[in-house]
Amino acid sequence: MDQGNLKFTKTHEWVGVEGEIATMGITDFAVNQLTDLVYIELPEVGSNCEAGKVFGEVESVKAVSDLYSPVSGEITEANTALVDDQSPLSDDPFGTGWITKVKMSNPAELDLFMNADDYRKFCESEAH
Amino acid sequence: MAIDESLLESAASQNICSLRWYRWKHPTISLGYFQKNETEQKNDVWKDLSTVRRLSGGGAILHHHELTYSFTIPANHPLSKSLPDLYITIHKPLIDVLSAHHLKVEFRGVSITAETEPFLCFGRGDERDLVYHGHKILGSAQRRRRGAIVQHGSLLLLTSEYAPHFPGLLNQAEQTGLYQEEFLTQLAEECSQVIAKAINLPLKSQNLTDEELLLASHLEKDKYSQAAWNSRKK
Repeated sequence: MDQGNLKFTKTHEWVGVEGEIATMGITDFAVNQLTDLVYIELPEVGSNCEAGKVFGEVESVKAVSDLYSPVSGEITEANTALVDDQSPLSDDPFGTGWITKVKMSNPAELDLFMNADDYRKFCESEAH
Repeated sequence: MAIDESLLESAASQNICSLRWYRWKHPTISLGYFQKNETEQKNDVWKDLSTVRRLSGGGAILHHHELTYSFTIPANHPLSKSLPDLYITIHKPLIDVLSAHHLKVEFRGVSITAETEPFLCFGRGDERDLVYHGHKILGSAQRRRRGAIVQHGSLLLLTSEYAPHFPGLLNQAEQTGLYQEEFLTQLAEECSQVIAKAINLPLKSQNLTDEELLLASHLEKDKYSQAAWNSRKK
């Protein structure tokens, strides 16, 4: 996905919107922080997620980290290919490394997020 | 495990940094968060041992004749930004303390990867592990929640009869007589002091708060003692 069309959270998730469906993933900054990913647990299709709440988990360097959902709604798809091979999360985090698709229940939540330029500035401030 | 999660909550919600040392009443296996709890993975010798799932990743630890620590750090501390660096920051002071007791441990320096990871953490090799003459004597793992981290680890002091192929530090150093309450307490105190210095925070000895105890009690009852939690990864 073109990063210029994405929205970003302070917890380093990205969201791309097509109609009422939001595609979500974690950013390259997050993946670099996590280093080598070895496991991912995805939410079940048909379950609901809530903005700011945990929707999945990843493990890297013996560290398990929660993944936070940027938006609320119903999970319509999960990228199950990542369960066996996590490399797309690091190789192509904004493309084949997508994690879930969500039918949004409150699209106004998107207004809270950063655009790509603001997110880059945020990451720079986090890194220092 | 319940207390460690309660301390992680304190780190995440109140920016509290904590360091806790403890031992286990009975030999116990703690599973890494994503590990399967299947009998075929386990040695027959372990079948009667208690098992609990940790919040953190990595492989299973056999807690026996060892010293366990848990360290929490809030999201607003710079060290919370780098998971690998946090391992090094905590492990380095332990090298210094153990060296002062003529126990010359060092970082492994290289990671060992296997297609199928061994069930036990001590059979796995991470570059940040501490080793004595090449044998792993300390490994750690982490859980990150809302930016805060709990890191816990196990210092293998004596060889366990349940895992005789992993030699304890004091066995290797021919210092098994040191495995006494007094030495373990001294070790924990000295390590606490140097870790506090390494993270640039003052060290203050304190009991768990009522709130932390209450949360730990709920977690113990509703989560860590439940088969649903301990056998959930299949």
